[in-house]
Amino acid sequence: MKSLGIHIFQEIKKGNNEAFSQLFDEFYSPLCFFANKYLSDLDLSRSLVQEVFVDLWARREKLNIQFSPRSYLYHSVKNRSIDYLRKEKKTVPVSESVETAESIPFRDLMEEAELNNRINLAIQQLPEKCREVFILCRFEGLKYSEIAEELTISVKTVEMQMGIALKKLRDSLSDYQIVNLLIFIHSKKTETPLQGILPNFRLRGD
Amino acid sequence: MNELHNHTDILICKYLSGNISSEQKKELDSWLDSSPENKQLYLKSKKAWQLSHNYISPEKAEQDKTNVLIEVQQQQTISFKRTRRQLLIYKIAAMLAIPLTFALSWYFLQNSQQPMPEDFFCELTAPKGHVAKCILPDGSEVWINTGSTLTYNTTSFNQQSREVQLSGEAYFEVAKNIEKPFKVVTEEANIHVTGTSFNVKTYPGSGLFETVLAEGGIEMELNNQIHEKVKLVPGEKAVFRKEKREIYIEKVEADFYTSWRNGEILFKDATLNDLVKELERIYDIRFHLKDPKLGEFRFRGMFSYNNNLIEALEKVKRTANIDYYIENKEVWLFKR
Repeated sequence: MKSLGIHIFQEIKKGNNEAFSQLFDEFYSPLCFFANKYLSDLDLSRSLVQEVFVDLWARREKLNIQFSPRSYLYHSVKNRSIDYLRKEKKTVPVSESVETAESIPFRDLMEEAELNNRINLAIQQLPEKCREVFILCRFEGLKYSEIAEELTISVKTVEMQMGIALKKLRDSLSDYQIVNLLIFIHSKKTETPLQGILPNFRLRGD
Repeated sequence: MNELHNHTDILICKYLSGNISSEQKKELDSWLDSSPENKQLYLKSKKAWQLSHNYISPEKAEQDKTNVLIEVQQQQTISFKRTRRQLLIYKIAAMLAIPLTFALSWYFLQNSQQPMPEDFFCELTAPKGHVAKCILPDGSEVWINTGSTLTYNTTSFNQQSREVQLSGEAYFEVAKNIEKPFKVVTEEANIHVTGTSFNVKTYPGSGLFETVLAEGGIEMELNNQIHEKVKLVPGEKAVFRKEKREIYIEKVEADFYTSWRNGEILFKDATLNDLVKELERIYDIRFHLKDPKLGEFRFRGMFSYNNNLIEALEKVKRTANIDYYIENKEVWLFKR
């Protein structure tokens, strides 16, 4: 998908609904994943990004935008997420997540969010049966045997479908150079027994 | 080769999803150790798996888009209405200001010539849709929730003791003073403290008394014949229902009961019935449920007093698939 240029803001300024809808389609999901880096709550991230879009439209006449839509939107979402976390600090101990998110460069978070969006698209594009199995496993947290029972298929089929799903998701990342760096960032957070092999890993070349 | 690949994908996937057996785990480990490319492939798979943790289905994205478009439209109409209404209010305020100034000064002049009465009461009420914060003569701070009233005797308050009467809901941060105990008097029960923070909720006619302690310690005393007493520790909520004649104490997250003073209401696992009660109070409007069973629907989330009614209803609609319409200044909720 080619990225929308600055002219889209000019159209929105004029009150062009179609342009607004196009902007939403292109950026909504990745922005949600991006906000989620700060908020760690996808539903909350979704409402926050919706607010950003509502605001953008409400203030469209005052828009004087020299940035690309991409950069403008990501910055808006970042600011709003941080504001939200600051405000919420009293009720939820989130200060830690602000710090973690803020310690990672903005650009990396943005690229990670876009990567997340690639995976999202890949899940959407999985063959129907395969997607069904994957969703039950990943989001409903069912064991293979439970999935097999639920869909009245054999456990072998579940294994196969999951293997296919994994391959497709992995392939959707393949042409991203940055993937190496991101694996490193991410796995700092989630320790697994296989962690030991990480130091061998090469970071993104300069 | 392809076959082999597929087999390892199956193993990796089983491992990542927690479906692997110990033999298979051994097999995977030796595969991993056999070459750096294998490790690379594993790490990439793991990354893909981790990223897949967050998923927005096309249906969800579409629904969210509809929400945004609706909100955008409504905002346009609301902002239009608001400005008009404000203008009218300003006009009325301006018209009233001058005669009111005269009337008030006359009234106070009259009063000041009369001898001071023995007991003078101060009554504080938070108007609908607002939270009032006030500081009592002893330095204690009180937040009064919308539509609630706090009364105290200005003559005797802070002499030997500190006594206030409450109808509705208020949050107290009582200044510490052991010599002059602080007492909150309500219809069903009273609270005795020396210095602490707590919330009291007892709307007239509800037959319900509820108090949540945020800090310090309080003693609650029922207003019935036996004057039953209970002591609370922070994070505890005591509820007294008139018809059940029993005090229930439970451990709660105090924040959920005290957030209203910042103009926010947090709901955690609340039913639609609870929510509707709050919204009726804030917006001073009646709600109806098309289907009474809908009242059992459970929610979590945050509402702000700064939201207008439509914003609040849209929020309900967005989170719960419950739609609304407004007829004769009353709100009807129904399942979509």
